Amino acid sequence: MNTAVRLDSVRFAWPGARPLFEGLSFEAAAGGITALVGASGCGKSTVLRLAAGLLQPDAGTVTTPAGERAFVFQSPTLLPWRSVAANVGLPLELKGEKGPSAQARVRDALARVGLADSAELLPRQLSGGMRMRASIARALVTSPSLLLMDEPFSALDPITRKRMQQEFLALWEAARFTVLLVSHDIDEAVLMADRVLVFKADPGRLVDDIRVGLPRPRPPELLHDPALGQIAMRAEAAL
Amino acid sequence: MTRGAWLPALGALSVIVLWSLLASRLPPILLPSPMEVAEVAWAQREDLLTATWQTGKCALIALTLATAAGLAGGVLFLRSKWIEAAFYPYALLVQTLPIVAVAPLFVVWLGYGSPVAIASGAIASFFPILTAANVGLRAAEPEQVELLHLYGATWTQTLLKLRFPAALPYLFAGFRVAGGLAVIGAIIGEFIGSNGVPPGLGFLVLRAARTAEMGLSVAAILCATGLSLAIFGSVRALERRVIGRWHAGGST
Repeated sequence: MNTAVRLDSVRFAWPGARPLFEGLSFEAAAGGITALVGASGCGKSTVLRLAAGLLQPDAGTVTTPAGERAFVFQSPTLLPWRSVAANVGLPLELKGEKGPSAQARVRDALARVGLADSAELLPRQLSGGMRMRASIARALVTSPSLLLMDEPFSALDPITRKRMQQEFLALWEAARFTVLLVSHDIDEAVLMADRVLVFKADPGRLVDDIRVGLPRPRPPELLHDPALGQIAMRAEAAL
Repeated sequence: MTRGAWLPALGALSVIVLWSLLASRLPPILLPSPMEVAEVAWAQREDLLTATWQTGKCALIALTLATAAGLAGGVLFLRSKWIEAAFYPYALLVQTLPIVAVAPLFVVWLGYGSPVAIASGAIASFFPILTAANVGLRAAEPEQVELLHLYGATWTQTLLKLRFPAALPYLFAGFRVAGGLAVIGAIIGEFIGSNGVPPGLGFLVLRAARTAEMGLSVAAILCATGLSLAIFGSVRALERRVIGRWHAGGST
């Protein structure tokens, strides 16, 4: 396995609190989707922030691939005073990239998520699904080698959510970047991921490591497939 | 006409009727009637307009100074918790300063004239802007701050591209309060330290009261109220123009 993300004996505690987890170790393959599932408080979102470099471990090491990292939060986290294009171009702007090449990258990212015609709209003029698409476009604009997603579809209605899962899988199939996906929805995790890591809380620990092995592409009908159901049941049992 | 529009009009009308009734039973030296005030206001419209412009100018300069100082204070407090812990409690003292008592000191330091009105207006309007800046500059969502941090934004980039725009709704709320206080502060400054060149509304009210020109005094007070409302309305219009587009329902 070509490893992209490695956590080695990681310990993390919020100031003044008991450790969220101690001695946590796992590896995630390059070019794959690794899902982290578990009950609230098991530290799965914290693992994402450690991998993003937003938090530092108290002990142990976190290794991530060279290149850009991008984060998709549960809320689209768009800046309401900026147009969709200006939001998507923000990472480039912060790195000092401007001019026609940056504009072309923004246009390309918007086209990939189907928002080419909405570039000049403000976030409040978009539907929930469109906002999440803009958030994904902003993550993809830097061509990241590692994409961290923290329950990205959980705030969407069920129909939009299914559509976004498929749209995201199509984007991923085309580029095959490494994804760490936190989800509280086991079916979603199994549908999207190559591996599902099951976490338990208090203290946060890894209790199961499930290789999904279902063929790709994975259409939404797969959610009703017994093979997927069996894997989901195993993950649920581990919880 | 909707209920929202005619009820305030009815309220204003009833106040004018009550005022007229009261004025008809009192000597004009104590309370002039609305008609007398209107007549005096028309006859002395040039004096009133000049005074309103003078006080308005002082209030706007005061508001600008208070905005610069309040924003600078908010940014410093954001930059350093030490500075905030050391100075924010004393910023509260500025709020409790009785302007009437401090204005004579401004006369000593700045001499008679407009600077006293400007300084009094600035002191009166400083605290709401500082408080708005202090709260507003921290109002960005934690995930938005994390996002900019992830993309390597510097402190200044985060301030300019995220914290300052996110603070605008708070700052405009602060300006709305501060605008009226700047007018009150400027008028108090004129009471204490105006040399009457040119006369502001505070100077005019004081002069009219001393010479028992009650009509002019009341007209000048109404001009001061109109000035506060005009500043409030201008801030509201600017707010709608600047942030109305994205702020209303823009919970992204």
